[in-house]
Amino acid sequence: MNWRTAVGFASDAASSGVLATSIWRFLYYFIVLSVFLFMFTPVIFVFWVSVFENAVITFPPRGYSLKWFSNAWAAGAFLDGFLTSVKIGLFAMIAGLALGIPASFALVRGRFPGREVLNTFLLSPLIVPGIVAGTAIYIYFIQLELWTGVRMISTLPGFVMAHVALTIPWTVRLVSSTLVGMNKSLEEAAMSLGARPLTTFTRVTLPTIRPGVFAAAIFSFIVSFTDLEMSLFLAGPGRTTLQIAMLQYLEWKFDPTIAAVSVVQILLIGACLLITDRFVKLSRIV
Amino acid sequence: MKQVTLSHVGKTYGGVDAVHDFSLTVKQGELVALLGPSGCGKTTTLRMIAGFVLPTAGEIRIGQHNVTEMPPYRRSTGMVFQNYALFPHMTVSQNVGFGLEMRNVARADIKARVLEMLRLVHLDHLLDRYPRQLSGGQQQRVALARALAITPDVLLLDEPLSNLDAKLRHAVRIEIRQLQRKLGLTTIFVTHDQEEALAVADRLVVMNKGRIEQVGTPRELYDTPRTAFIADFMGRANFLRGYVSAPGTFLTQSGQRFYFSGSAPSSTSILSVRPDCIDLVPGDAAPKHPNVLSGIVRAITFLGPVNEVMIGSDTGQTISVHSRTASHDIASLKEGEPVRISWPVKASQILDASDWPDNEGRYKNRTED
Repeated sequence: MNWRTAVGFASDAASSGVLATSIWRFLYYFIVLSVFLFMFTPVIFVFWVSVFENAVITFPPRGYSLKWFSNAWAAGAFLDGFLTSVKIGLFAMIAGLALGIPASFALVRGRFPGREVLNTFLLSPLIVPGIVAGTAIYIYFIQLELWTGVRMISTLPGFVMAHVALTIPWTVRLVSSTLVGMNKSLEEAAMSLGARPLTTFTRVTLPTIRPGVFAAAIFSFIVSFTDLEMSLFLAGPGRTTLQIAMLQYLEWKFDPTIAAVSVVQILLIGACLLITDRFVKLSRIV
Repeated sequence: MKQVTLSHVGKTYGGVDAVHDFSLTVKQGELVALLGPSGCGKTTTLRMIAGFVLPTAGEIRIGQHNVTEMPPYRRSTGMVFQNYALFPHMTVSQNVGFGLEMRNVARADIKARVLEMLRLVHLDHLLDRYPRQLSGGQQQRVALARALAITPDVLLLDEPLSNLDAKLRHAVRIEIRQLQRKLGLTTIFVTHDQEEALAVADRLVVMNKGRIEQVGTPRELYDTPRTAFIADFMGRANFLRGYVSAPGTFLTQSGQRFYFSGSAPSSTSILSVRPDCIDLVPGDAAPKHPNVLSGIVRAITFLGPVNEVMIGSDTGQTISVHSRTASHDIASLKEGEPVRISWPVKASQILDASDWPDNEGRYKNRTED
């Protein structure tokens, strides 16, 4: 507390009306703190459980150990799943950007009938439950396999195509919002200085919306990486994502290994978000 | 630097004329200000010269070249935007050098030219700063240096001073004028501020509702406005409705007789007289000028060097008089007491009232800034 609030507090306390204010203030901080605790408790528990010594999770733990981390590493399925997830995530992110950036330009700069409808359509995967979208894509892929004979399910291209439906809404939303806030005279200035449209785009437009593109890339990767519902339908022998590997492990075993894997995953995604936040204030975009 | 010619240029947006039949020649080395209320078409006109907006009628020439349909990057115009539009991800020197880079100028030559331009605007010590690290006035000067670095055929300024505070605006205005004179820049300057336009321009083009209202030197427009709109826009004026009853004589609707010199449009007219041309007549003294009007003092407002006296006149209209604070007349004045005012024959201007829609002494379609 600085001297200003301290003085304010002392003089306030003199009148009864201000006593009420301080009660409200206390209540406010209490509620804020409770909400944060509520949100973080599961994460805290996951971190705690991951270092329990005993295989059967009981409280309090018998002792502490890091063996579950090495156990997860040794299991192999998690590492394979992790690599698959990273691959799918990267490709889905790139494809999402390649499709989402031009779409954002069309939506923000273009004036054509059905613009609003198209915008809603591109954002719609955000509101369709993953399990529904997964079912739909599964049925569609099977039909496609029947017609063309090309394998889709449990292939990398199949995964990527499905996950692009997850990454496009984020790309469109994040890139559009930076594009809306962009000062259009920057491009006009570049053109009046002799830059052709393509040069203007690469030298001025793209660098200006870079924060949005960067955020879109990170978020795309995260939603693809953490997706379970949609991937559930597409996974097959030899190709599972990390989330599915975790689910499969849980089906027959419940020991701190799963907590250890979760800890690694939480730290990775947390790092991604921290890096993003250094480049672009996420609170201003999302 | 080249001459810019617009012939019968027009721009229609969905059936609405943004600019209509605009013809103007800006001579080499001349500074012309496009002036008018917001929405009058001045910015659209500037953007057509820059190539950001395609005209729907007419022809634009820069020098001998017909540029009407030419994309902006093939014209050679230096544009300074209202919000400066400096590239935020480039340093000051990268910003200034951008146009030269687009013209494939050798690296060493770019460096020399950038330095030269930044010296011109006294910012050669800020080469490696980013725009966000500069003040508004500095950004403004970088924008000017960037526009000038490409030695453009014409310099286009879009409300370049409106984002600066009053004091800085005054300084930058003088700086732009000096630079324009020194380099002999053909310049087109868009503003809504009549004082700014009067101070800076060789010639003014006053626009209203997409049309040119009047073109002339600042003095011409101030002294001999052609329409009530101009008279009102070029500084405060009092308007009296009536008609010309005999050569040199104007009769108001309530029967007062005033005198003017020169010819005047017939039929219904407006007599315009500026607040600073009117004298207060002290006590029982004989009026100095033949045009005399009496009324009641409604309010006296101290404005520093002058006092604005609002007088409820016998014509039924409120007349504004600017009286110098240093004069003795103002001291004896009291609100609610009768007063007489007078003004010289030369100060009466007769204007065409055909575009004058109301009796309130206010121009109906004028947008207040």
